[in-house]
Amino acid sequence: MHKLPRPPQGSRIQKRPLTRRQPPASSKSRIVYVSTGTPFMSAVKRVRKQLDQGLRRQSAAPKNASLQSRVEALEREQSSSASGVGGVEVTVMGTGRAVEKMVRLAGWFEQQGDCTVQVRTKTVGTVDDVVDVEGEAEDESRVRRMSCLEVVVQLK
Amino acid sequence: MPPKPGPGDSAAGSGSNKRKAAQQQTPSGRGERRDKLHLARAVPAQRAEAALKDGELDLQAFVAAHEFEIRSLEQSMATSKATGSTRAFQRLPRGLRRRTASHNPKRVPKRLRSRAVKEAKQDKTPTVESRKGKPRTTRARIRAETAKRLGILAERKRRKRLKRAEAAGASPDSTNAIGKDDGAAVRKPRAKIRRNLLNEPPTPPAKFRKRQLDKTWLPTHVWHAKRARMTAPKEPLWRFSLPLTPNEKVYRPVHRTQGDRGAVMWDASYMSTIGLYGNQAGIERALRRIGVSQENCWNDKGRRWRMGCRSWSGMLSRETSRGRQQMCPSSIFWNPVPSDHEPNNDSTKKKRELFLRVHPSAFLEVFNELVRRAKMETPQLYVEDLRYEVGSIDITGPASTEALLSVLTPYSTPQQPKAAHAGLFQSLNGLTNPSALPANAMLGFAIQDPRLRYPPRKPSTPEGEDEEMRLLETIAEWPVESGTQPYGLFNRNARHAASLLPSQKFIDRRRSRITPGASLKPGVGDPPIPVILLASRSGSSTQTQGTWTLLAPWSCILPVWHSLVHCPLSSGGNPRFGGLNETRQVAFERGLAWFPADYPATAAGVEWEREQRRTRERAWAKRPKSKRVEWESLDLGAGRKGEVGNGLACDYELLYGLPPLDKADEEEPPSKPVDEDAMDVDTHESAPPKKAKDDPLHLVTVITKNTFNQLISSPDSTSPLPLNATLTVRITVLSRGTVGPCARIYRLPSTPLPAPTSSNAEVPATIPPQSSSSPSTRLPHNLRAQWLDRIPPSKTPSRQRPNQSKITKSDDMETRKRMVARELLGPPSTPFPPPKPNTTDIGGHPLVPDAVDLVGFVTTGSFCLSEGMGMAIGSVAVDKVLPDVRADGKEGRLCVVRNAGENVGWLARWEAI
Repeated sequence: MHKLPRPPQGSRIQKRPLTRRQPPASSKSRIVYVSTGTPFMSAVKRVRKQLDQGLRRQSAAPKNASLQSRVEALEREQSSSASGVGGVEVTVMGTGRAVEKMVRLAGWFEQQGDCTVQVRTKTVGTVDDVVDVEGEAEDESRVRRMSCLEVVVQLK
Repeated sequence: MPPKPGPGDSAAGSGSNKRKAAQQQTPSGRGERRDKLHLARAVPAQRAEAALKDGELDLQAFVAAHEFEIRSLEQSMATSKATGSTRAFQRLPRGLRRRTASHNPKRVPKRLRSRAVKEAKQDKTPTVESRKGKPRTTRARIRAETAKRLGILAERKRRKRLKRAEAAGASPDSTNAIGKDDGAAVRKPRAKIRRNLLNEPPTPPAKFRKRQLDKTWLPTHVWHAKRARMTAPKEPLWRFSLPLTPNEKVYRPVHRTQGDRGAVMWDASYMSTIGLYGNQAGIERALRRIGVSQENCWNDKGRRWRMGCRSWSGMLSRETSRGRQQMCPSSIFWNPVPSDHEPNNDSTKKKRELFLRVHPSAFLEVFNELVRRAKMETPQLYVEDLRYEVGSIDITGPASTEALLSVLTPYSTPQQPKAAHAGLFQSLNGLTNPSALPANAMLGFAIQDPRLRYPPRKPSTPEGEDEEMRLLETIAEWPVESGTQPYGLFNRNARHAASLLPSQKFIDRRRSRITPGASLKPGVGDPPIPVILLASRSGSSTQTQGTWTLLAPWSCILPVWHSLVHCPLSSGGNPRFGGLNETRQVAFERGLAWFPADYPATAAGVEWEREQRRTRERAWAKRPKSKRVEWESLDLGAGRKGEVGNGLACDYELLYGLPPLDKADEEEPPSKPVDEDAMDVDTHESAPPKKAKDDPLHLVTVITKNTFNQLISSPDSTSPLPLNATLTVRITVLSRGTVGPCARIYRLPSTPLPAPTSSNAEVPATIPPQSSSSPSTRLPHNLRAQWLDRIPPSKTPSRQRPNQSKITKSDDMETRKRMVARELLGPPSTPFPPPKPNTTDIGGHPLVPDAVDLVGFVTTGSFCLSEGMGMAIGSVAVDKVLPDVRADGKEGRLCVVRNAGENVGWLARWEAI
C-alpha cells in the first residue's frame, strides 16, 4: 500500500463514479448506499422499510392443500420462526467520509432491540482523473483505494 | 389441536382421491372449481382451548394463538389470491398482453395456449369461428371453389416440373436450395452517396412504400409500432415516424431503470450523421468556424480526440449577421490513421475523415453550413450526408454495459483476429456505469451477426476484489492508442458488406444442424458488422449514469435491437425501451437541457416553441369555455388582473420587447407553397420555411455558463452583453410546489429605497412615497423580505432562524398563563372588517412580484423523482439577473416561479447549466 503523490501544480483531481454492484434479481439482500449528503434518518428509514417488507412476506399455501395440511404447515412455520431463522438482510454501504455515518447507523440499529448488526470493513477502488487546468498536458488517470464500511442489518 | 370444521371441510379430506372424485362429478368442472375456491378462502382456525393452558389463561399460549390467527388470515388471503380466477392471458407480462380478444385461445402465446383452451372449455367462453373456413355468400363460395381448383392445378404443374427436372439429371433438392435461399442470393447494390448533396432515404419494400412518402421509418419501426405510441401519421417529427412513449405506463420504471437497476434503450437512428473528408488543416479551419473553437481541442490536450480515440461533444454555432448563433449540440469523432502509416507532418496533405452526429431538427442548418465552409477551402473538403447509412442505439443504466457485452460478440476468424478495441471492450465485464470510463471514450471494432448467438445469454459477472481492481486498472490505463486501425464504420464498402446479412431463414436452417443451445460460428457468408461505441458522461453529479451510444450500419440496427431487447440481465428482467418522452424524462432527471425544447435560442428550438404554442392553443381552444383558463380574469393580487403575456407560450416577445409574429404568417401552414415545382424533390428539404427568417424569436441569443461566470467576476467588463441574451438555468423549487412548462420566472423584487435621498427631506419616511406611475406601489413594501422568509429553515444557517413566540415546553406555568391571557385579551390579530382577499397575500402566500421583475420562462418542469422535489429547466434574461447576481451571489440566484394561469408563486433557486 503506497500513498499517491500530490497532483502537480496547476492541476486538480476529478473523481469518477464508484462501482455499484448490481444485486442479482433473486437475492433477498438489498443494498442501501449512504453518502455524506444522505440525511441520517432517511438512511435509517430506508433500511427499516426493507426489513419490514421482508417480514410481511407470506407465501400462499400450495394448490389443493386441505385445511388440515394448511394448519399443520402454519404450526410448523410458527415453530421455525420462533427458533430465529432470519428473513431479509439489508446491506448498507458507505465509503470515505461516510464511514463515520455508517458507524452511527450501526450503533443506531444495535440500540434497536430487534436487529442484529454485522459490521465489515472493505476496500474499494476508484479512478481519479488528474486534470491540468491551465496547461496543455493531457489528462492522466490513477487508481485510488478507499476504505468502505459495510453494515448488514437483519431482524432477530 | 384439531381444526374447527370449516366451510370448506367437505373437500378438505379428499386430497388423495381428488382426481377420481372430479371425474365422477360434473363434466363441466364448474362445481369443482367452486369447491377449490371455497377451500382457498377458508381461514384455518384453532379451537379456543389453544389460548388456554389447563383451563387457565396463559400469556405464552394466548400470544401464540393470536399469532396463529394472523398468520392463517394472511395465508388464506395469499392463497385465495393465487387460486383466484386468473385466466391464462393474465399470466402474461404486461408487454405481451393484447388490447382485445385475449379470451381467444388462438391469440395467446403458444406456451399458454393449452391452458387457455382448457379454461375456455371450463368457462364455456364463446369463441368466434374464423370466417375464413366457411364462405357465407354465394359469391364467396364460388371464389373459394375457384381458388381450390387453381391450387390443385398449381400443384399438378409443380409436380410435373419436378419430374421433368429429375429426368434431366439434377436432384431437385439441390436446384431448389441454390436457386432460392443460400442467404446471399440477392445482392443489393451499394447505396449511392452523393458528395455535398442530400441523399434519399433507402427505398422501402413496396408494401410499405406508400406509408413513407413524407417520412422515413426507423429500422425498428415495425417493432416499435406494435409496442409504443408513435407520432401521428400526418404529423411526423423531423421527417421521421418516431415512438413517443411505450404503451405501458413507464414513468416510474424508467426512473428506476435509468439510475438504480436495469437499462433503458432507444433506437436513436433518427440522429443524423454527417461525414467530412479532406486534409487535416482544412478540416480544422472548417470546424473552428462551426463552433469547435476551444483551444484544448487543437492543442496537446486534444491529441487523443484528433487521433480518433475520444469523441468531442459540444454546441455547434455559425456566424450570422447578428453574431454567432447556436445550432445544436453535436458529437464529433475522427477516423484514426493506421498506426503503421508513415507520419506525414504536412497537415495540408494528410487526408482525414470525421463524423458529426447532430439532431435531425438542426441537420439541414449544419449540413448547409458545412458544405459552404467545405467549398471555401482549397483543396476542397467534401461532405457526405450519411443519415440513412449509419444508425444508432442509445442505452443507459447500470446494466447497460452488461447488455452490450452479451449482445456484441467481436468478429474473429482464424484469418482475421479480433481488434485491440474488441478485447478492451470485453474486459469491461463488471462495469456498472459507463461514466466511469474516461470522458468521451470511444471504441471501434467489428462484431458478428448477433442472430448467430440468439438468444443472448447472461455473461458471468466477475466476483471478488481482485477482479474489481483489474477492471479499474484497465479503465485507468485505457490502452486504446497503440496499434489503432481505421474504424470499419467509416469505410463505405464495409458498411455495404455488413448490410448483406444472410436471411433469418438461412440462419435458422444452419441452427437446426447444430446441437440445440450451441451458438453458430460465423462463416463465409456472415459479414463482420463494423460498430463504434461512444461512452458519454451526463448529468451534474458524479454518480449519475452515463450513456452508451452504439453506431452501426443502418440495416444492422434491427438484428442488434432484437437481441438487446431479449437480453436477460443479472439484476432481473430485460432492458426497457423508451420513446421520445423518456429521452426528455431521463435528461430532466439528470438535470440536463434537452435539445430542442430547452434551447430557445436555436432555430430548431424556435421551431419547437412555435409548434408547442400551436399545440397548446389547439388543446386550450378545444376545452369548453367554463373549463379553460380565462387568462384575462386571472387575479395576481394587489389589484393586478390578467396573465403576464401569453399564457400558452414562453413569451420571449414580451420579455425582450420583440415585435409579434405577423398573424398572417402564423396562420400559414408550415408546408411549402403550392405554386413551386412539385417535382423537385429537394425543395422541401433544402429550403427552410421562408417565414423562419422573419421570426422575431430568432433575435434571442444565448450565452454560455462560462461567459456568464466571466461576466460576474468582471463587474465592469468592456465587452457589452449581446442583445436579447438568455441563459439556460436549472431551477430547484426550495419548498413545496412544482412548476410546468411556460411557468413564469421572476427575480425577487428589489427593496424600494427607504427614504428620499435629498438631504432636506422634512418627513423621515419609512415607507416609500407612492409614485403614481407604476402599479407596483400597491405591492407590500416588504415583499422581498416576505419571500426571503419562505426559505426553509434547513437551507439557512441556524443563527438566521427567526425566534418563534409560540409557547414552548420549557416555559413554566406562570409564563404560559400570561401568554394565553395576552392572546385572549389583546386586540384581534385580524382587523375588522377583514381586508379583501388577494390584496396583501394570496391564501397565505406572498404576492408574486410585478411584471417588471419577470426574468424568464420555464421550458421543462415537473416533480423530479431523482431529487424528490420540484425541478425545472428554463431560460432567463441575462441583463435582468446580472446586477442581482453581481451584488449578492446567493440571493441573486433566488427567484419566484409561478405556473401560467395560477396566482401562487414558489420560491426557487436557479443555477446556470
